[in-house]
Amino acid sequence: MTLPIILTATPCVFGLIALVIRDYRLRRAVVTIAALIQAALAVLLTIQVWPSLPLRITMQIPHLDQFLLGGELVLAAYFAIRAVRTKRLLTLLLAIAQVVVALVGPTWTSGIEAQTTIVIDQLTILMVLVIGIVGGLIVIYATGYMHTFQEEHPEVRDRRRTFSFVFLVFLGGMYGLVLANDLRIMLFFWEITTWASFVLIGYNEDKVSQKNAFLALNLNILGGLAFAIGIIVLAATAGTVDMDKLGTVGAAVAAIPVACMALAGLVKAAQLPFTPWLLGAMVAPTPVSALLHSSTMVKAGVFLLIRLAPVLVGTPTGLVVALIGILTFIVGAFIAVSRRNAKRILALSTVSNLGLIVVCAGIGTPQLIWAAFFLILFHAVAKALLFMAVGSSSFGTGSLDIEDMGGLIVKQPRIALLLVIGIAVMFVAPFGMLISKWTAMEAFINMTSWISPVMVVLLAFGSATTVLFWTKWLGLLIRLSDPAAPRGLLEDKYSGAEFLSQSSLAILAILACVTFPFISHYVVSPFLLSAYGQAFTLDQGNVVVTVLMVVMTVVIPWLLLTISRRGTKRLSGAYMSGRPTEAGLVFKGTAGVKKAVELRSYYLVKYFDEPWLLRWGIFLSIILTITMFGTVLI
Amino acid sequence: MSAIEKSPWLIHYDASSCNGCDIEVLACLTPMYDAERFGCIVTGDPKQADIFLITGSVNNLNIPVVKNIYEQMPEPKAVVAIGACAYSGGVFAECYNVQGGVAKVIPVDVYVPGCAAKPESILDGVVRAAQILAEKKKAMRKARRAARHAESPAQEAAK
Amino acid sequence: MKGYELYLAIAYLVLGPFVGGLIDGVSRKVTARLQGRVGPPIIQPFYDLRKLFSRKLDPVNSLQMPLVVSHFIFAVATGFLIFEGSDILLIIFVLTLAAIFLVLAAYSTGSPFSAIGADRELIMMTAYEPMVILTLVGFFKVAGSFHFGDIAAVGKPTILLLPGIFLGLVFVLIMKLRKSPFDISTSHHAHQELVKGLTADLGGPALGLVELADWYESVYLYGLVFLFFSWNPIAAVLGPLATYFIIILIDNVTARVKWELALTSAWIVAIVAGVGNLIPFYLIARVVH
Repeated sequence: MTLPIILTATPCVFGLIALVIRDYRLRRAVVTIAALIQAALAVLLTIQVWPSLPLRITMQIPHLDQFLLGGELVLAAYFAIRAVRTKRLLTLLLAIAQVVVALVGPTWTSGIEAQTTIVIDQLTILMVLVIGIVGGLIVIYATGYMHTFQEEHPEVRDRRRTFSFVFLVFLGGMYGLVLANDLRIMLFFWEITTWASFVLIGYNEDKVSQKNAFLALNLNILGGLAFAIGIIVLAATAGTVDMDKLGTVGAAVAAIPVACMALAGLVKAAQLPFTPWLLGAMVAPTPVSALLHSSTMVKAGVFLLIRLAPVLVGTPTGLVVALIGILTFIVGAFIAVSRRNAKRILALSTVSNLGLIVVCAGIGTPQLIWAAFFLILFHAVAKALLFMAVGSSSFGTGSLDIEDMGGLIVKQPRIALLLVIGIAVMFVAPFGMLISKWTAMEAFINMTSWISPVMVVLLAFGSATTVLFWTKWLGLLIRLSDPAAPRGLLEDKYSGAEFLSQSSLAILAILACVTFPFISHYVVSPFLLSAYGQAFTLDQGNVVVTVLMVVMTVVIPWLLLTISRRGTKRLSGAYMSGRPTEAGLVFKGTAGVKKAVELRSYYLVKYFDEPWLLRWGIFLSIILTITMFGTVLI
Repeated sequence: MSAIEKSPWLIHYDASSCNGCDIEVLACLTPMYDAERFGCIVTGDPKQADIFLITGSVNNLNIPVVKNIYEQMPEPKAVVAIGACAYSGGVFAECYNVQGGVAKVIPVDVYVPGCAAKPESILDGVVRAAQILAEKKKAMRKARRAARHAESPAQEAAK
Repeated sequence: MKGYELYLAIAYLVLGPFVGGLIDGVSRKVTARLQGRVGPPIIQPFYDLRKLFSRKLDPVNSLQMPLVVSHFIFAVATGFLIFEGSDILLIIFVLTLAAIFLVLAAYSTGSPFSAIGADRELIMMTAYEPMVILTLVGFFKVAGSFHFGDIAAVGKPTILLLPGIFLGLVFVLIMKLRKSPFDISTSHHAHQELVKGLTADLGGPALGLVELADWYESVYLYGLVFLFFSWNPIAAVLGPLATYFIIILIDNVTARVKWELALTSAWIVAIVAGVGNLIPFYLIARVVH
């Protein structure tokens, strides 16, 4: 079984090749081929291991300790050098701490070998496919995007070779992270993703990018440190470094390592109080955001937490994790109402949805893990699509403000359609995300613990605001102030690579929505059965209703649209209070001055004020985090 | 009895009236006169209205507005010109800006006399207009049927 | 699923418009009487609907009609699925979908009146949705089920167990039925500051569909009210009727509020009355365990 290793190594090798190719066209071809090959390998791995899930592989890797130590030190040294160059003391101290932990750690872990190096179960497969396919499509998209980006932004130094290299290594790191069962190996790849995100966030090299890149770096080194300390404590007290052994060492022994690792997961998943790093990360070029938000980085965080879920069930740590998750869910959703920058809205929605996944992991009943599974899947697909479409749209409109997306359905019909699909999958009733939300809601209601009403109420309020900010955006996209205007005027910078990867994702998203009962039956149920000894399946009637609704929601508007396109020859003007208007709702104002109608949406800033919400969210979550460690240590 | 006659929805526009007639129009909605008993609703939205109640004379500034409201109403529609001004410009006929009665801009179906018009006569005008609407509807249907008969041989010839 | 539920759902499909139309007609008559007027005939809404469908109005754009028809289909489907015995918690999300279609239809026109109406309707949705979910949670705490038939057959005086939730639902009902003081997105009364707001660009059959969808909606919303009184046949008749008249009364004696007050008051009611009503259930459950 060398396929997992090949899978991890392939993107990295291609990344190195891309690093040395100077010719743009050749490099683009290599990167595209790399994306396709690694996606094919991911699918191949799935097919190969499918009959024997969950698969455990034990490998004797010679000089593993030395290799990992070397890797850690190189990364830490890189961070330290960057910190010294930019005079950032905090980062330097963190890097030094990282070195110390990396050097001291082997004293406890020496002699302890992981019994199982790699564990592949359905969750791993889900992650591998998400990384391979969604990540691969983002890589292809990036080849088109970065070309236009460099043309549009001559002030940014052209570092596309580094970009391709880091981008591909990022994918490799993610593969290693989700496949490894040996915690030390997992930690190594964990740090790789930290490094990759740091480089990518700082791509533009201006002041803001640097600041945000270092913010992300600081927090993620902190998370990595917690992870490392967790492993050391686990090795010292329980004598194991196996992820899957965590459940067998006993609750008292596992408490501290699990709390440490949960903290690492919370950092990566950008939960409060660590959210600012992800919000800051949007300064990077859009493909980076797409990657960070959908298939890598934040998904690594929730992946770890779901892995921990069986150990978290019913513990104070699990409870705190769930509370932090729901707090992040509602704060993210609330802030998103008041924002008008498209990327920021998407980032906040990511934070919010990840919060929900974290809740599911923290409480950890099979039903909630089921929900988390689908949240990961649908969120990855839809969010990647949305980020990519927003990025492409901004080249045409020159703006990321959603107000400037008014009437996009006329100006950029293809991008607008993809955005509509992405937004629909994110929140519209019968589609993926909502099924998970509903399942989670039902699970919360069924619980008898005091946490149940808290979850129910916060989820209800959070969901309501989610509808508000998504529908507002959807409404802007389809505004037809001038139905007769020529189509697609702002789409000339839209490259084929971008359209191809986006439409593939859109098709994937719709497919996933329609086939989710099969995914539930063949993938999620067996996983729950093997991990928890009990399965969760949706009630037959609900499945029928849901699938019917999905089909109706797709087919009815489409059908009606086709009919109305054919039938509508005459249009009447929009109601303008009796004012005669010209095309585009231009009317004669006072003293005969011509004006066009300008519309602005509500943002309810008074009620959903970002600084206030963020401040209180961070304050509460810090208290919760301290409580978590307090209870564990006492 | 046609459906349109039982549910005449109104839009009321004050062209350049002295507000006397407008107060009387609003009086029609009060408990004393209760226009809603005939199914009337004052919508304010031309797209939902069947009858256009217009008070006052037309002038250069409001002619486009009057035309636009009239155009945005779906067929069939009726116009009720209320008061002396809407008929001829009334006491303002000699004003520098006044163009005259509403009929200069859009076809009027019913004139309600008075300065200001009485609520009873306004209501009477609305009921008359509703009857006219029903007739127009009938005529439209007949015309459509006739057109369909006339069209079919012509269409076949074209093919 | 019990045998009668399918019949109930089919009856809803067939009779829904008649019941919904009568609900509308009676409320107009009662409103008129409260104001000392004669008022329109009780079957006036049916005349209006017939007229609306006999008119022809060109749409503002090619998206508008598809969205309105989708709104109608999903609004009707919501009620059908509720009565048919599907999980109401799931269906309530479909209800949101229906509302979204109407909001999008208004947004698509580009008219400022429609757009602000749509914005306000969205804010109203945000305002009432938490309370709707809390209502269902309340039903679940009483009946242990999310199915209409089970909740109706629970045999307990639900209204006495869920007085706060009931209050919250009535609050929400006023918003959902767009009655004063929460008729801020579009109004049944004349002369709103947004003209017709959400429906400003709808006329003829399009408006007819929206009206018809409203009738269907009012039927299943009063169906939810019925669930509070289902334990006793007399209460089952009187309860929804009383609620109905109280809502008409409120519609007549209050002035329209601003969206700020609508949003904050709805959320405060949801938290105070809704959550406050739910907490004892959890406390009792803790004691029993």
